[in-house]
Amino acid sequence: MTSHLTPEEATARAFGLDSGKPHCDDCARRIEALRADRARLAGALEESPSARARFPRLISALAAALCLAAVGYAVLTVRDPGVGPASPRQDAQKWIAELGSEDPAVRDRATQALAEMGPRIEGLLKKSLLAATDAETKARLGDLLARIEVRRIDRLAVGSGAAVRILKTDGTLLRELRGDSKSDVHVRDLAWSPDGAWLAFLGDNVTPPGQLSWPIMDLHVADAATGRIRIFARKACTPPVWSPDSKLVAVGAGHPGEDSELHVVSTDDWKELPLKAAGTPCFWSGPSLVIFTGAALEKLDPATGKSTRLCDASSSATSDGSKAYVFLRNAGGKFDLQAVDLGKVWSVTLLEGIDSEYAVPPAPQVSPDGQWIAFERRGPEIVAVRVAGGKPWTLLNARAPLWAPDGRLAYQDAKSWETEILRAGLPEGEIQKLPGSSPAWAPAQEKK
Amino acid sequence: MRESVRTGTMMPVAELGRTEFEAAWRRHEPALRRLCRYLAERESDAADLVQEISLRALRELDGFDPTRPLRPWLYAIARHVIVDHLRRRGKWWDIERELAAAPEEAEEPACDPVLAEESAAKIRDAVRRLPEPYRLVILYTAWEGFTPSEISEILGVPPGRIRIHLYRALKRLEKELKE
Repeated sequence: MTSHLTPEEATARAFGLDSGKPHCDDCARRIEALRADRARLAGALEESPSARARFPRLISALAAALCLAAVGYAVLTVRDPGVGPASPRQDAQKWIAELGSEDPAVRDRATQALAEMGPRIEGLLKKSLLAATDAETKARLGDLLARIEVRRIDRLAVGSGAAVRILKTDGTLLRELRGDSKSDVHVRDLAWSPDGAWLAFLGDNVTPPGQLSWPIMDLHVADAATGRIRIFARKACTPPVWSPDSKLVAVGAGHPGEDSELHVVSTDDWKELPLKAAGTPCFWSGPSLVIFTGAALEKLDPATGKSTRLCDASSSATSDGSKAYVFLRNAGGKFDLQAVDLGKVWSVTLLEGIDSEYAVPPAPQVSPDGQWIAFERRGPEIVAVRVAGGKPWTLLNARAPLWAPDGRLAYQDAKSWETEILRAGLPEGEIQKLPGSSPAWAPAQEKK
Repeated sequence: MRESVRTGTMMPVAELGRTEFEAAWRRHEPALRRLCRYLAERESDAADLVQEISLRALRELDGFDPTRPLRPWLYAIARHVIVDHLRRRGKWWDIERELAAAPEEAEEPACDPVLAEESAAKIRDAVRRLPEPYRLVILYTAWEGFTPSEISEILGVPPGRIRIHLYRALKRLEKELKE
């Protein structure tokens, strides 16, 4: 007895995905009916959906004019270092002059202030060292430059198609890591482990045989030394987060929030912890993992699976060790940037009414010195605000800000997805372009 | 470019590759623009997506194997751009939900065409309302004229799975048209 084509088989033949003659007249009729549907569908789709119907001409013209104005604004002002907070150069010159003071307290205060400015004033320190005449100033300037050199991070990893490339910040390629299982693994959300040994990232998964699946994303962990890539936790969707000892890496399966399933993988045995928890990993606070549950930040003990509530939240968060920085959705549907003391003593709003194109905004990024918070808002553009207050600094057509341990800021060009680095940190304007996306700075210990 | 990467210095895309790419882009850009108009919620988003696809393709040109056809490669890059777009909108994970909710047992299809009585505009609107991955599958199988292996390469799904996705996509489309 001849079996009929299954519905999928008939559809596949009608749409040209399979070939072969039908077994019987009944199957042939079904295929013909589906072919007629395909022709009708193809004809309807041939015409683009009408943009004008949804966007009247006047609105389109206004939008175009606004775009031109925005581009003009960007060209003329935003990448100009004069916009935003005052340049630290003048402050630095004042502090450098005080290094030669006869008062030791004044000299110490000036040294401390200059040390906090870090690599941003490296050029000025070098010039001042050459020009200095007194021994005390020379010694202190030399010490400050040595400290900057020790803190300097000169490497970062970027995603380039299916490869992870480790680059020097001048663009020189040091190493390329590439998995061999699938050529089309697109690298996203790179995270370098604090000990420098591992690079975690999200890559398109390999559809498991026999399962009806779609290439969501898997957690991949690459050995930075050998290039070997391991694949874990199928269907990951939120950026990987490393524990401070580099022994655990956490990732969320699902969109950020309550329906994100938490996975934590140990680098000791490359097994997943037997943890049943919902939430997006944000950062580690000692042995605990702070997670975003959709409406709050919670502190989770991975050993027991128990969690305690920290504060209301509408996004993932980052931390400087004592405070968490997080977005909270306000009554108007926009987001307020909050600083929350992890001891729950207080919280303060740093900036109100932030518009985001994300359903759940990515976590605001705190600078290593705890002075700046950078985040992405609708535009897309990057905004950086001082924790202490002041005029925000803005960079148009940029996404995904990420601070280096030495205070420089990397981000992605919104269109090309290329990495760019502000060479000297904020608010200096000089930009270094690097080929590759999703940058991850080498950890501070990586410095030779 | 490839030589430069091997020797450790990142250089701009070679002129020859760029010229070839620009010629190919001019051929494929109208179809990609149309694709993005179906995927984006706003016209300005569609324009941004098209621009992002061109720039990312140009950036990854050194990874392209010139012995293979360019069109599936270009559309696979488009998929990566679309993934990023859907992630930002909080809709990427909906694909997983959609597949999990789909019936395991296939139903018998009707023998009569289900779209014959519908206007083109109504069909277009219904396709725009389809959740992913069904919208993408419909756009690639019904309209763009790719071979089964090309669709598999572009969508990152084995050929045997595409037919199931397609069948379910059509059932969803039928449901959308009835509502």
